[in-house]
Amino acid sequence: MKPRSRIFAIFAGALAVLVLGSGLLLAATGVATVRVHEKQGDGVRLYVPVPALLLHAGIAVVPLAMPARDRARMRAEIGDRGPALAALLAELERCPDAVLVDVQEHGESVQVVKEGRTLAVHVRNTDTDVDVSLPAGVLTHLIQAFTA
Amino acid sequence: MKSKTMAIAALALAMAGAGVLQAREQGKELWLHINVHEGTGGRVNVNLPISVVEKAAALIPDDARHSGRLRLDHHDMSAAELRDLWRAVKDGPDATYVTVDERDGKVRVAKSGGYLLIRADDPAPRRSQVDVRMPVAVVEALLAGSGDDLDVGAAVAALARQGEGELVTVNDDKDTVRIWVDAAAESR
Repeated sequence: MKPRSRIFAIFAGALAVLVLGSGLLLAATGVATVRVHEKQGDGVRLYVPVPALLLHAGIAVVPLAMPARDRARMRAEIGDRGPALAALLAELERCPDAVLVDVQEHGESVQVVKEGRTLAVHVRNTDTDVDVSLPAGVLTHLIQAFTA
Repeated sequence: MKSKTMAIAALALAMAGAGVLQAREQGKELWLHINVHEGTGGRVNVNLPISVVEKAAALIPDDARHSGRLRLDHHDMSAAELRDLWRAVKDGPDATYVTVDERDGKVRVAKSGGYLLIRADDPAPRRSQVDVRMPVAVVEALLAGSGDDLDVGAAVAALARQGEGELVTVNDDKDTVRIWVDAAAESR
C-alpha cells in the first residue's frame, strides 16, 4: 500500500471509529429534544436536539460554577428528599413504557409519556404543539449533582 | 364534588403503593389507574406503576404527613378520629357499621370479606354515588401511626400485597371518577 493510501485508510478508519463511537454513545445516553410548532402561517417551528452527554457534562459543571450560597439554597430546598427523589426517578426510568398522564380538555391536551428511558411531555392546543423529551437519567443526575 | 373527589383520590393514591412486592414476585407490574371524566368533556387519565407510587409516597412532606384529615360528605375527620372509628370496626365481624339515611343523602359503612366498603348516595339535584372498596389491611396500615399521622408509605405497601381490584368509583350526573389497580399499563 502506498504511503498516501495508508494515511487515507488510517484517517478513514479513525473517522469511522469516531462516528460509530459517537453513535453508540448517543444511543447509550440518549438525546433530549425540544420541538415547538406554532400553527399560524409564520409561526415558530423549532426543533432542538441536544445529546444527553452534553447535558450530563453541563450538570457536572454547573454546581461548581454556581455561587456557594445559591448551591446551598438549592440543596436546602431539596432537603433530605434528594435520595427519595432520585429513587423515584430511577424507578420511573425502570418502569415499562406507558402514557403516565393524559389530560384532555376543550381541544387542549397534555400527555406525560414514558418511552424507553425517556420521559416526554406532549402539549397540544389549537395554536401550538410542544414536545419535550428528556432521558430520565439526566434528571436523576441533576438531583444527585445538587444534593451531593 | 371536586373536593370530595380529590380527597378520595388522595386517599386512594396514598393507599396505592403496596402491590409492588407481590407483583414483582409474580413477575408482573401492578399499575394504579385514576380515570376522571368531567361532564364538560374534560378527561384525565393517570397510569402509574405502584412501584413509582411507593417511591413518591416517600416524598410527601412531613407537615402533610402529620396533618392527616379526610373530608367525607362535607365533614372533616382527623386521622385520630378515623383511628378511633377504625378501632371499633377492625376486630368486629363482617357487618354494616354505619347507616345514615337522611333526606339529603345516604351513607353506609360496612366491613365485608376483608374489605372496608363505603357507599354514599346523594339524591337529586346533586345525584351522586360514591363507592369505596378498600382492603382492610390497607386501612389498617394507613392508620397504624399515632396522633394525626397517616402512614401513606405503609398503606401503599399493604395495597401492593393486595393485588388487583377496584378502589373507588364516583358517579354523579356530570362527572365520573374511577380508581383501581391492575396489571395493565393503560386504562381500560
